[in-house]
Amino acid sequence: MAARSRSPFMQAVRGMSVSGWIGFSILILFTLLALLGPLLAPYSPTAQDLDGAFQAPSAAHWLGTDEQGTDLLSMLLHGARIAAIISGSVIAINVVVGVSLGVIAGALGGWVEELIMRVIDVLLAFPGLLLNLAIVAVVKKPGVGHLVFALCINGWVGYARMARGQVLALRNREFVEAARSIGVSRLGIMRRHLLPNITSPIIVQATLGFANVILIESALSFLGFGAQMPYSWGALLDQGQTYLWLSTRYVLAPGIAIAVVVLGFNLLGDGLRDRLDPKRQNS
Amino acid sequence: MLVFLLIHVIPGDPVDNLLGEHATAEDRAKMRECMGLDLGMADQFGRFLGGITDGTLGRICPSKRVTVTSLIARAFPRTLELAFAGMAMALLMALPLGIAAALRRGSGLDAGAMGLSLVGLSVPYMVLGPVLIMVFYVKLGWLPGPADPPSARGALVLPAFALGLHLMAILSRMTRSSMLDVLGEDYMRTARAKGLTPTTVIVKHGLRNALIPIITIVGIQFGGVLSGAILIEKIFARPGMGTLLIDAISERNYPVIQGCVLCIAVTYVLVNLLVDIAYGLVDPRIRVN
Repeated sequence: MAARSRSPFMQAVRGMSVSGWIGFSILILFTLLALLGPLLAPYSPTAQDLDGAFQAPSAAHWLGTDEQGTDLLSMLLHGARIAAIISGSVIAINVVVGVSLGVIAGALGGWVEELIMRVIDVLLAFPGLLLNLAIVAVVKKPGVGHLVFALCINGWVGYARMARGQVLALRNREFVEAARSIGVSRLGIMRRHLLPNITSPIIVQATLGFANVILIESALSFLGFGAQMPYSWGALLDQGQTYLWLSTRYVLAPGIAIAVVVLGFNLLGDGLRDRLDPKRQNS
Repeated sequence: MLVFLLIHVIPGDPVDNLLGEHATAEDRAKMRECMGLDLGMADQFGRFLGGITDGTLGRICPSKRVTVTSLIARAFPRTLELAFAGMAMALLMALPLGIAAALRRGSGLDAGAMGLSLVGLSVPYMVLGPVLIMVFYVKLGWLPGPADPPSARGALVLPAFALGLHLMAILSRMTRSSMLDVLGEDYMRTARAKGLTPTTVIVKHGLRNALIPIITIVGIQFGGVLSGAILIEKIFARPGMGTLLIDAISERNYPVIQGCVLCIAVTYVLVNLLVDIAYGLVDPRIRVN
């Protein structure tokens, strides 16, 4: 009974390959840093010391300092929390909105499906970053909320398409017919019979989606349209690029942080997909 | 319409951004009239549509001599050149890598190729670009960098490589899995049994059948490549649509933003149409159906 009550995510994690486990460990570390980072940071991420600009790594400043003498490690640790808050909220909203609309479109069909699919077509006509950019540019000084909104505007589309596809494959299966014949409501069929059967691909897509959100968020900050916080990872990259001639460390520190976290999500996503997709298990 | 609506809810005043805060009230009023900001939303939308039909996409105030189309005509070829060079580089790296990984499945080569593609997927353009600049331009001095003119010989190599690596990562994974599916097919065994050379079997019978999903991914990823080109242009200080668009957003220059977004979206849709046509060329069965 204990094994049965475990979530599909944890069941899949337990049987993953070594690379999947490496990804999972990176993400545990990232989550811990996002939670505890501001407590662990040795200095304030905004404290300036103009005499100590561009210091090399030392016992006092493990990763050195930036052009204003601010400790790079402290900024990175505070930035981890911003990255986690933004990517976590974006994925949560995208999954809920996308999967709900996808299941509704697939299960109800007719004009509802037609409407949802046409909205998706319109959103897909724009390259992702361009649409995000246009929306963040709507606000003069975007905050975390604006950025989350911009990343959600087209982020749900992939989940909706996938959920609809899965539901289309399931909606005429015997167990759905059986539920319908004993008078289970449409909502009941969607919630109790269709949704539980499509969780595996959603988990995989959400895991890989995290990596994408972190990349797009840092790209927007890099272009100067991110949440206006000087210590978000993308903003640090932007600043680092300006002073590339003086210090490569300034670009490499946030760059490696982003790459490692994205790699972690990709490894975990691949590991989960190999576990959860029966077709891949057999091949 | 979506482009128009999105841009017109930007709260900043374009006149402030274009003329600066010290402009006289008279200059402001003139600029406002020139840009059509004194009109209602419906009339402004009409002007926007008018710009599309007469092919100018609007004119730049106050002189009105420069059209948005002429700005885009100067910037867009540079971006397209970068995007196609990036895609070509990605395909040149991904196809051999993916095929080799599929043929030697489970070997060190397979693990290395897939490891490389995971790294390519994870390293953002904003990190790869500066690293390439530091190594090949500053330290080794082998290739031109941001301080050289974009027309310099070899100026496209570093930006195209930085842009292509991410796509290469996606395509090599796709090529590998697509080739693995094809390698087990009966017609591959028949081709081998007929005594064809391994290269002919793999390229003519294997790759051609494995290409459909690869082409699909190229089409889907073209949007990502265009978005990436915007970032790469900033990193390598290249003129192009990215630079034009970002400057226009900062200035709240409506006609230019609308023109750029429209132009990129139309190109994206056109490339996906070309992808559909390419299916038929690669696989005649699709044309028949």
